[in-house]
Amino acid sequence: MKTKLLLLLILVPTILFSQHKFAQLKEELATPNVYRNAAGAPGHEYYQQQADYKINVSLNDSEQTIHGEETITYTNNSPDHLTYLWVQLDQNRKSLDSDSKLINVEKMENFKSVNQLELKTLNFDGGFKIKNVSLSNGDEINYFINKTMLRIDLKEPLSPNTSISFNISWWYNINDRDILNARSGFEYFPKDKNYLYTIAQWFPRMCVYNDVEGWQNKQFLGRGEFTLPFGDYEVNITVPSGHVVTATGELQNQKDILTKIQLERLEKAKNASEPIFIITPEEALKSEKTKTKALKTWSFKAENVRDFAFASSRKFIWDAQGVDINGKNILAMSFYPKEGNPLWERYSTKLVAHTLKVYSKYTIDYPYPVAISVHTKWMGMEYPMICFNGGRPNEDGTYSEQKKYSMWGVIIHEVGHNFFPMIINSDERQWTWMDEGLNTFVQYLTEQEWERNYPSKRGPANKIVNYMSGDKNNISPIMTNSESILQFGNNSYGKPATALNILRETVMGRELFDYSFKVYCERWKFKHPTPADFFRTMEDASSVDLDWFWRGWFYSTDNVDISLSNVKQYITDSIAGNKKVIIEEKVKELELKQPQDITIGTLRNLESISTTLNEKDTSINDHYGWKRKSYNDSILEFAYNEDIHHVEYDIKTNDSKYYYELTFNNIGGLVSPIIIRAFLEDGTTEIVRIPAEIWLKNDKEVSKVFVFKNKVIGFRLDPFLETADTNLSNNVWPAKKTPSRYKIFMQNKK
Amino acid sequence: MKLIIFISFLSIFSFNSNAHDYYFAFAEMELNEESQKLEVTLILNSHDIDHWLQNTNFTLLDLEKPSLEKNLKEDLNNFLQSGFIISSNSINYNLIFKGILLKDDGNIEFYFESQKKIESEEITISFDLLMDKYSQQQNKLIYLKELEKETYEFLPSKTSHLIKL
Repeated sequence: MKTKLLLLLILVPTILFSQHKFAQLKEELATPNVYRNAAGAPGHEYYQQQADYKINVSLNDSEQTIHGEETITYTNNSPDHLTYLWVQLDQNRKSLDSDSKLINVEKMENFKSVNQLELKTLNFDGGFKIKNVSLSNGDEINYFINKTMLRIDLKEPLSPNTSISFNISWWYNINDRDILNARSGFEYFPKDKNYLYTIAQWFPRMCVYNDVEGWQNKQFLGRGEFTLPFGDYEVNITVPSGHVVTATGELQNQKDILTKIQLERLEKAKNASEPIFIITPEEALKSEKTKTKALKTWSFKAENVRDFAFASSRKFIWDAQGVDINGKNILAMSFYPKEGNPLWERYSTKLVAHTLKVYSKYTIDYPYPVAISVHTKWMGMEYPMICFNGGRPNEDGTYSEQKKYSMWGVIIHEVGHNFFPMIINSDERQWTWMDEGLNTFVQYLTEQEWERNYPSKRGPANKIVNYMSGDKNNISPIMTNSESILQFGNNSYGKPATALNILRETVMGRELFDYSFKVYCERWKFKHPTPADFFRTMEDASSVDLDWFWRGWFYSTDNVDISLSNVKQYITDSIAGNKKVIIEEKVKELELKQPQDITIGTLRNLESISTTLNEKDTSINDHYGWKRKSYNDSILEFAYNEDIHHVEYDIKTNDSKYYYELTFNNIGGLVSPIIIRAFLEDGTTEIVRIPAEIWLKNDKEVSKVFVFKNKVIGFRLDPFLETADTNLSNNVWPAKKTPSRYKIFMQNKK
Repeated sequence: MKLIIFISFLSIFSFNSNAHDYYFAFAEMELNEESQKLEVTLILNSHDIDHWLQNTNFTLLDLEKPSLEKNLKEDLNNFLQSGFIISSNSINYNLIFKGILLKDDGNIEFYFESQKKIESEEITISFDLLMDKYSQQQNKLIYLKELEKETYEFLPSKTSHLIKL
């Protein structure tokens, strides 16, 4: 009994301490070592493997199949002797016996129609058919296929700093996206009887072997994408002669493939500041109608990439322009069928160019020679230097504003993936947020520099409150393995992007955040970072203890809901010296004449972004553009006022006579900085910003005394919607009834 | 057919963007003290409406027109009201469509008013909009009650709530 009591006495404080909101992340993060140090940087013995590929592939347009053969040269840079190698077979997720189908949880009530039920019996076999695995000298090699993984058994262990070359040949059926949607596939255009192929995860690819996972050979179930070692690629793609092919890397045999005029246009495009056609709409239309059985081979080379994808079609229009990234000229390109116009010829390549510039500013200089956007009907997926993007106007060429923004957002997002995870090569199979979240965050920055007040769907704190205030049974912490995430998009894209935005705007400040974020990107470009490397770097480079932030935002499902639960007013009695007298007068409810809510990012961007792209390039604005322009004017006026009434806060030297004791309650559980706007009787406002550390000793309730020169008629918490506070109605004193959306709509209608 | 296939496979395949990854619909409701009628705003993501419109002869552009075409208005009304039902004592309170607003943030707001006065002190709200299409759908109702806001969550496992007015 005594032993048990003693154990309890020891354990209880330990448990309590470990659950403290500000407890350091000692147990959650891996111990620093020679491969990854405590500062969040690669350690002095950091290593990574290399996989180089030589591939010949042919695309059969009449049967929609892929046939390929490859030679992989794998270099073991690890200190370990490898007795076997693991190769990924992603296409096997589309094989008939795929686990992905079996593990999808279903109830009969989920099937609302006979058509949906019929899909269950769909018998499409899209798995790899491995024809041969052999050493490069032709000797047989033992191998074993475990669903989406192939193990190569080596006769002799592969020693450190040695290489092995081996061959694999295969084929598979390509899926029709309209029936079986996936990252890779084809779309058939019945009107002109042509196919558009976007081909990815199409060849057996080496798994990553590293100090964190050993072999990253978790089965591919669908959500957790992949991580791959870097390497050099030489790929020959044979297609019908009328097809145009675009791919990861640089085209090597353009003189054999393109016409003289197309070669001249391509050369001209390299230094063009606006997109110019390499293949015009008229040429693409002609090509659509010409179907020959002859074949052509397109050859590409790509250096230091982690994957290779390509697209092929007779329907492609091709345009390109040059982009200067700190003195290096990059070729931004787009490939799209006529069905993508007018949106695609107007915007796609400009979006690629803009994305490269803005991402290079906040992360690392874009290192590859080309960046390519390929049109699809409605999906979005990324690979090195190339991505497949949705956004198709109506058949008559009209489009809604939502469609336009959707297309813009997808292209920025997918081109942005070149940085996360193609270059800053995190493990997507383990952590979706490390690429999607970081990428969505920089996507937001890029959108804001494309068009002022771009209506970004993710990034600003107020965009995540509906998700974070939802039923906790339906929410996962960000630090959840990719396959187990509930509400995938909000969890892995929206919440981490918001968290980084809050770090930047509210917790760290832009200068500290931008510096630290860039340090992380520079440290881990062309390497394999983990969450701990990111967390540690952000703290190490900024001198800001962020363990409370990672704990709350990344390891919990708590939300921010801080209420202003009590306000007491005190006044100095001048006759009785400095004796404070409580004034318990009931403050009359006054109409707080408050400008339209503006997020902190929008407000600061007015100053930090001197000119957005659409302000420089008037061709960006279409018939929808005018609405947002008029909206800008009111923001400018507000920003001006905000600047004039900047708070000066020094209780010792000022003559303020009004003292206010404010009590705050942390209802949501997530500790947060407190931002307070005071509305003074003279019509001015003051802003006070309190760091999250105010909750260090009590994370449930805190109070604070404030001094103002004038009488305060109202307070509001989170006035710039920057903390993701999920309940704004308890942020206001005196309590104020907010008009319903219905009432506002009907009022505006009059 | 395409739409059905697309939707049913969304839960299996993930894409990095432009996939359906929101799974929210919202409602805001208030009892007008003068008219004693309920005023309701339904808030949906334009992706959802876009997908729904593919089963009709209309596009999102038609929603931007100053006044909705009669057929579209009826179709929309039926679609929305099949997923948001107000009832009391086995009586359903029909809603009158009052307007629509396409917001910059990609949401679309639909405004309704109850046809009849609400004569009961308690109503049942059934809010399973889009739950037949998306298994992860969770809807939320905010009921504005004087200075208070009451929040009700609707999941496929619980699609209705009893609300005291």
